Amino acid sequence: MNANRLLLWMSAKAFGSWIRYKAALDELLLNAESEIGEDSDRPPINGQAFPIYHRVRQNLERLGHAEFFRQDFSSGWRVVPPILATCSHDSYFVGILCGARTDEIMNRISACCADLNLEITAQPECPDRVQVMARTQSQLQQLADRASLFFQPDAPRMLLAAVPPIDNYQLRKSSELPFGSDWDVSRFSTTTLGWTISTVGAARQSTFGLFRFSARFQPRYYLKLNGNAFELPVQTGKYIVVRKARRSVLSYCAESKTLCMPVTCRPPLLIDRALTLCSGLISELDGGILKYRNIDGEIALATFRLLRQ
Amino acid sequence: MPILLVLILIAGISLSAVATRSLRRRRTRSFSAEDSTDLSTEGVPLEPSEGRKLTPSDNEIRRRVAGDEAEESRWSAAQNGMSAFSDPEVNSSQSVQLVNHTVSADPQTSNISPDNSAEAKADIDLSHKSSVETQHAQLASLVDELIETRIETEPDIETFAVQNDTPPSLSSVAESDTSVEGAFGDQAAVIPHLEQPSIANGANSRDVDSFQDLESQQRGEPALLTDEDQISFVLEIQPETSLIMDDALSVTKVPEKKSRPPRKYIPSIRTGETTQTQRTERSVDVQSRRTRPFSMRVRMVFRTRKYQFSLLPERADDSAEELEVIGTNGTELWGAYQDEWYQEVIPNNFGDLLKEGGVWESSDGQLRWVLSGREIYVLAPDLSISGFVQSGGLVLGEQQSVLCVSSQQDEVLNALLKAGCSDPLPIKDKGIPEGWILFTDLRPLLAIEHQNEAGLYNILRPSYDFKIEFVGGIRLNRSTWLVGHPPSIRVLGASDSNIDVFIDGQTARLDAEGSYTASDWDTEGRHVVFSGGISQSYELANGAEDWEFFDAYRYNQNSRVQDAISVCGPAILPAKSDKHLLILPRSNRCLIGALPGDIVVAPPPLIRTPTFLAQSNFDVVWNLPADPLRCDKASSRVRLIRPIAPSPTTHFSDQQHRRAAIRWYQIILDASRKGLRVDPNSEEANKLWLDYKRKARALRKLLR
Repeated sequence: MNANRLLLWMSAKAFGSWIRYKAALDELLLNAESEIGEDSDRPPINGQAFPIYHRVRQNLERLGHAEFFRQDFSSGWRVVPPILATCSHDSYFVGILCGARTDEIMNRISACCADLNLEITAQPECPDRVQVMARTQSQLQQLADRASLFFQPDAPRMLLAAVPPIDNYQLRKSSELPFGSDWDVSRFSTTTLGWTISTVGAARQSTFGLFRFSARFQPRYYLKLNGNAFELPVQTGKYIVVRKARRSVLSYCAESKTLCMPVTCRPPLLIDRALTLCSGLISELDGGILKYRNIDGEIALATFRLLRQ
Repeated sequence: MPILLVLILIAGISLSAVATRSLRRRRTRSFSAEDSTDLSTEGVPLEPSEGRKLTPSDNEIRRRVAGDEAEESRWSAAQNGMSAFSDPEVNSSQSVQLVNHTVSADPQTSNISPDNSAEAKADIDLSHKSSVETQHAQLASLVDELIETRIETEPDIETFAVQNDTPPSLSSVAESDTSVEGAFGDQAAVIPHLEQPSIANGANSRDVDSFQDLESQQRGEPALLTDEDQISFVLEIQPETSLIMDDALSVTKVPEKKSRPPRKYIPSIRTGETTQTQRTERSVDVQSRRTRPFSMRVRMVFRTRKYQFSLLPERADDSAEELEVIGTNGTELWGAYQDEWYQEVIPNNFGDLLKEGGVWESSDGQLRWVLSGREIYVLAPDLSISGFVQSGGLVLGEQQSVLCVSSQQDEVLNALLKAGCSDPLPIKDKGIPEGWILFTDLRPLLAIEHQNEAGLYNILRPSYDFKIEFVGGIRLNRSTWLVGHPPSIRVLGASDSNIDVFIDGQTARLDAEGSYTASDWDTEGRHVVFSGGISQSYELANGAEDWEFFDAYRYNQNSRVQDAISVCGPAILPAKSDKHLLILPRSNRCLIGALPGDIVVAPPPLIRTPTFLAQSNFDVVWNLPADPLRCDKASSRVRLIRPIAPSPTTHFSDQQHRRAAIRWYQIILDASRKGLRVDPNSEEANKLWLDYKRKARALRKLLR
C-alpha cells in the first residue's frame, strides 16, 4: 500500500475533516506499514518531528494534490481538481498530473499518451509522480483536453509570479502576543538557524525577532517588527529574520540545476510547491540540506527574489 | 327470556368490573405512602406463597391484569396530561417505557423516578427495612399477584433497568443468553425469556456481580430473597403503579439526576438458545428510547515499539460530527473519526477504568457511552480501523490479543492453552496499563463449548461460530467501497474450509489468498454475501467526479483589488472569472486585444523577476512594452499571444471607449514607429501585425 490509495480515497470523497483524513490514512496506509513514527495527535514542532499524517499532508500540498486548513475548511481538506501542470525545460515540456486522481483519469491519460512519453515514478509517502513529456506545450494541452484535465501552463513560473515576496503585508496579520505567561517561548536564531529558549517578557520587549509560543503542542509564530507583533507562517518569518540578519541561506548550482537550502529554512508552501513542480518530485534531504532538482535559472532567480535572498 | 339473559350478562360484567377494581385497589394500596407506613407495624414474609406454581389458568389472569394495567395507565396519563398514554393500543409494556416522571413512595422522605430507580430503591430499602419484617404474611398473596404481573412485564422491566443503567436481573442472565451487544456493544444488558420467568425459579432482580447466585440458580436451588431484595423487587416490577402512586400523592418533585456506575460486563454465552428475533426486538426497543446508548470499545495499537491503548466511542450515522461529552476526564469535545467511531479517548486512570468501567454522556444527555468493567478483554483486528479493537470473544483461526488483570494471568493462560493458542506469553510493560497483562499473537485453533459456569472465561472459548468480513479495498463509508477497489471477502472463524459461500446467489470461489469471488462480484451496485445462515452486504460505488476550484490562497498583485489572484493547487486563476491571466516578460506590460479599446497596462510587479502576472478582461492578441518609444529596441518585442484579426468596429458608445480606442491605436503606432520586431518572427505573425497597424492608422484618421 502507498499514498496512491489515499489520494484515490480523497478524490472519491472530494473533501473532509482532518480527523477523517487521519482515519483513512490509518486504514489505508498504516495497515501496510508497521509503525507510524510518533504520536499522531501531537502537531509538529519542527520538521524532523512530523508524524506521518503531517508528512503525507505536506507532500500532498507540495505536489498540489490537496489543500489543507484553508479559510473555508479550517480543520479539514479539499482535493484540487485534476490538473496537468506543465513546465518548460531546455528542449521539451513536462506535464505533471496534480490534484484528484481516479482510475478512470489514469486510464484516459494512458489512452491519450500513445505518442507521448508517460512516466510513472513511485516516491515515498507521496502519490506516484505521473509525468508526461512532449516536444511542444500544445501537445500537452491536447492531452489535457482529451483526458478532461485542467491545463495549467508554466505552473512553477505562474505560481512564483502569483506569490508576494516574504515581506509583503499580505503574508502576515497584525496580532497581539498571546496573553499570560503559561507559554513555552522560543526565539529563532539566525546564527544557528534553530530555536533558542526565550521568555514571554523578552518577546514582549523585543522590537524585532521571530518567536514561537507553544502550549500543549500548539505552536504559534509571531514576528516582532518595530515593536509590533504579527502572526505569520513560520517559514515566512524565518526568511524575514534571516534577511534582516543579511544572511544568505540559498544556493543555486546552474550546472546541475539544483537549488539548495538548510532544512530548517524550507521555503513557504507555495514557493515549495513551485520548486517541487519543476521535477514533480519531493525535495531530497541530504545531510541537513534540502535539494530541489530541475530548477531553471529563471525559477531560481524568482525564488531568490521572493525570499529576499 | 332475552331480557333475563341480558340482565344476567350485565350482572356478570358488573361483578367482573368490581373484582378487577378490587384487584387494582389492592395493588395500588400496597404502594401507597399510607400502606408503607402501615407496613412497619406488621410482619409478613414477602415471598411467594408456598408451593405457588404457574398454571395455564394464570395466563388468563395475566391477560386481565395486563388489560387493567393498560386501562390504569391510560387513566393515569389522562390525569397527568400525558398524551402518549391516550393511545388506545397502548399496552403494559409501553406504559413501562413511557413512565418517566416522579414517583414518591414516601412524600416526606424519598422520591423515586425510573431515571434513578437504583438510588430510589436504596432509599426505600432503608426507610422500610423494619416494616418489611412485619408484613410478610399479608403480602404473600400480593406477591403471587405481582409474580403474574412481572411475568407480563418482564421484558419491559429489563428495558427499564437498562434504560436506567441498573444491572440486569440475575435470572435473566441465567436463563437467557441473548445479550444486546448489537445495540449496546458490551454493555451486557440481557433480554430475558418470557417463557421462563426468573421468579419461577426463585431468583430475584439483584445485581449479577456475584457468580455464586448464578451458580446456585443453575443448580436449581432457589436463591433466598432478603428483605431488601423483596422490597426492591416489588418496586422494580411495578413501574405502572408508580403512576398511580404519583397521582395519589400528588408529588411532583423531580429528583436530581445522579450518575451511576457502569455495569459489570457479563459475557454473551453462546449455547444455541440465542435467537435473532430477540436481538432485533431489543435493538428496536433501544432505538426508541430517549437516551441512545452506544458502546465504548478498547483499542490497542502498536506504535514505536510500544502498545498504545485507548477507548473508541461508537458513532451512529446520524450522530453529530462534533460533540461535547462529559466523561471520566471531565468535559471533552469529540470529533468524528470515521463513520463508525468518534476520535479516540485516552482517560487518565486507564487501568482502573478498564476494570471498573465508565460512562460518558453527551452534554445534552441524549447520547451515552458505557464501558462495562471487566477483568478480561479480547482484542481483535477490526475492519473499520487499524489496530486491535475489543471483541466479543476469541474467534477460531484469527490473530487476536487478550488483555487481563494480573490476578487472572494463570486462569487466562490455561484457557488460552485449552483453546489451542500456541505458547502465549504474557507482556507487562511496553505501554500496557498498570495492573494488566497482555497476551498477543494468539491464534486459537480449538473450539470449546460455552458453559454457564465458566462465566467470563467463556469469551476465551472460541466457538465454531463464524462471520463474513470485508477486508481491505478503499472504503468510502460504512459498507460502501470504491468501484475498482472492492474489499476481499473473507469468512472468519469457519471450521469447515469447504463451507458454501454465495455472492448475489452465485456460488463463490475461494482464491489462494483466502478471499471469495464470484462473477460480477466487483461491479457497481449492492452485493450480498451469504453463508451458513448469515448474510452481509457491501456496495461498490463511484466517488466524486465533480471537483471544483476554490480559493485556497488569494493575493493582490498590486493596489488594485480587482486584480487579485487565486491559487488552488498548481492552478493560478484570476479571482474574477471574467478575467484572463497571462505571464509576461517584465519589459512588456501592455496588453492589446482585437477590439479597438481593448488595452490594459499592468502595474509594475512587486518583485524584480523576469516575468510577472497580468490580467485582462478580453482575449489578448499582442503584448507590447508599456511605453514603446522609451524601450530598449534591441531586447523589446511585440509578442503575439493569440492570433485574432482586428475587429472592424469603428463605433464607440461613450467617451470612455473612445479614449481607450485612442490609446489602443497610439500604442500600436508607437511600437511601429519604434520598429519593434514581432515575436515570433513568422510570416503569419508579421502579417497580422501589419493588419493591426493598418487598423490603427484608420482609427487615427477617424478619431482625430
